[in-house]
Amino acid sequence: MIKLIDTLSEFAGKLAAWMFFAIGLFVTFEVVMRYVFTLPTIWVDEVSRIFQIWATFLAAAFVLKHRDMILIEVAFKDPTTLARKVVETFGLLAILLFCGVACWYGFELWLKATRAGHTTDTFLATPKWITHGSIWVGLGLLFIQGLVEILRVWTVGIPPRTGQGEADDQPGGVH
Amino acid sequence: MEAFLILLALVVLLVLRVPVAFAVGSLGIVLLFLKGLPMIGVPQRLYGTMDSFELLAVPLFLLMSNVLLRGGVGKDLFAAVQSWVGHWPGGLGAATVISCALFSAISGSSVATAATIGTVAIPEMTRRGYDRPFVLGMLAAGGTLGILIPPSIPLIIYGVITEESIPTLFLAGVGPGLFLAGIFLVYGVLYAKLGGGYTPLAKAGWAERRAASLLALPTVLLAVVIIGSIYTGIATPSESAGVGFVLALLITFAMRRMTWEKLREATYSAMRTTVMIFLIIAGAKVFSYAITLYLIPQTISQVLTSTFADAGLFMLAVGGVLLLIGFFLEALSMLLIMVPVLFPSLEAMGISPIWFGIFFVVLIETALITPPVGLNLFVIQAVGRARIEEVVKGAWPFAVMMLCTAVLLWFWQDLALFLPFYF
Repeated sequence: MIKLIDTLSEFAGKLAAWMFFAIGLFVTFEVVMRYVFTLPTIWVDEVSRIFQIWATFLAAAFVLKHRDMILIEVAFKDPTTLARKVVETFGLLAILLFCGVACWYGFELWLKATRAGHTTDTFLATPKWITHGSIWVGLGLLFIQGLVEILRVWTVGIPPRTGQGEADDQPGGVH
Repeated sequence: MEAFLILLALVVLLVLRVPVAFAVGSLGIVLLFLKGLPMIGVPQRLYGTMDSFELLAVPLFLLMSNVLLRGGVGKDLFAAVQSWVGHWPGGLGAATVISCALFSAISGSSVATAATIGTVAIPEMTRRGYDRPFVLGMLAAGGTLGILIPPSIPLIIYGVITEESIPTLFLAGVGPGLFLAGIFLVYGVLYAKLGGGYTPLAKAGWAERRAASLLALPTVLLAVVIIGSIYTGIATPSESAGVGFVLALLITFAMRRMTWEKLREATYSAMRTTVMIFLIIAGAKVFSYAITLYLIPQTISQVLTSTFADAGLFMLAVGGVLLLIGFFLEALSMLLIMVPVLFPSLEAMGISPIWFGIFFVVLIETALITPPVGLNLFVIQAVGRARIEEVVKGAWPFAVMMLCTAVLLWFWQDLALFLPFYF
C-alpha cells in the first residue's frame, strides 16, 4: 500500500513537471501566433492557468516525499533523536490539518460547482469540476502521503532532505 | 496582544520544523476556526492564488535557468567576459561580477546565477591564486544580483501580492542592481590590487575575443529578447519567460549541449523549486486572509504610524526588523509573511510601494548571504566544495556593501525610481 502511494506521488510529481514544461510551449505558441500570424489564441491563457493549478497541487505530495519543503533548520537537527521524531510528526500533523481542511471544503466547493454545472467566465467556458478538482485531488494525495511519512518516521526513520540544505540539488533555486 | 500571540505561535511552529508553507497555512486555519469564520474561504483562496497568469513567470524562468545551467552556458559567458577584462588587475573578479550581472538579465533566481557562474568561476579564480574565501564570497554575493537585475522571481511575487506592476518593479531594480554590481567590481579590483594575491592573465587577442564573444552571443541575445520584449510591450513577463525558455532549449540543443537526461533533470528541478515556492504562496495567502480578518495588519500599521511620526525612522525600524528576521527566516518566506503585514503602513507613511519592493529585495539579498539560513552560502559551499566558514568569511564584506546600498536607497530613492518614473 505504501509503495502504491509512493509510486502515485512520484508519478503525479513527474506529470506536474511536464505540465509546467507544456505551459512554456503554450505561452510561446501564443506569442508566435499573435505577432507572426496575427492570430491570437483563445485557449492559451486559460489552459496554462489550469495546468499551473493542477501541476502545483498534484506535485505537493512528490515534494513532501522528497523532503523538499522549505523549513527553518535552527533546532532538532539530529534525525536520530526521539525529540526530532516527535517534532517531525508534529510537522506532518500540521500538514494533515491544512490538507484535511482544504480537501474537505475544497470537495464541498467542487461538488456544488459540479451539481450546478458552473463553468469559468471565459471563452472556453471550462466546467468548474475540471478546475476545482485540483484542490481536493492534489491535497488529498498530499494528505495520504503525509500519513505514509508519519508511518515512515516511526518505522524506517526520517528520510534525508534533498531540498534547500543541499543546494547542488537545486540549481533552479528558490530565489 | 493578539498580534503578539499570533507571531509567537508562528515562531514556535517554525522552530518546530513545520514546513513554512504549512506553518503559515495551518496557523491561518486555526485562526479562522477560533473566530468561527467560514472555512470555505480556504480552498477558494488556494485556487484563486494559483489561478494567476502573472505567476506563470516563476516556473518558466526557473525552467529557462535550469536549461541554461545544464547546457553549460555559464562557461561561454564567463570565457567571453574574461577575454575582455581578464587582464585587468583583479580581472577575473571583474569577469565574475560582470558574468553574474549578465546572467541575471536572463535568470530571475539568485541560486541559479550563483550556481551557473560559480561552477566556472570558482575553479578558474582559485587556480589563478585568488584568495579562496574572497572568491567564494564574491560568487555568493554576485549570485544575488539575479533577483535585483530583472527579471526577478521575488519581484514577480511581490508584484502579485501587492498588485503592483511587475514591469515597473523590474525597471526599478535595474539602477540598484547595476550599482551593486559596480561596487562589487570595484571592491574585487581593489582587493586583488591591494594584496589579495593573484596571477595576472595575459591580454587576449582580438581573434580570441571574437571567438569567445561569438559563443556567448546567443546568451546575450536571449537577455535582450527577454528584457526587450517586456519593455517594448510585445510580451508580458510570463510570456517573455516562456519565449526565453523555448529559446534556451533551442540554443542548447543547437549547440549540442542538451541531452534528454539533462532536459529531464532541468524539468524536474524546476518543478520542485516552483512547487516549493507556490505552496508557500498558497499557505501565506490563507494566513494573510486570516490575519486580515483579525485586523492584524491594520493594527500593526496603526501602532507603527503612531510610534514613528517620521518616515525615515519608520524605515529604519522596518529595515532593522527585516534584517533580524533575515538571519532566521528563509528569504521568500520573509517576503510572503512580512509584506502583507507591512504593506498597509506604506501608504500612511507616504512610501512608494515600488521603492519598498526594491528595498525589500536588497535586504533579501543580504539575508541570502548571511548565516545561518543564507541559501547562497550553501549553494557556493556545494559548488565550490568548500567549508561554510570559508564562504561566510568571504561573504561578509559583500553583506556590508548591500546594507550600505539599502541605506543609500533611502537617501537616494531615485536610484530605484528614476527609470520607472522618468522613462
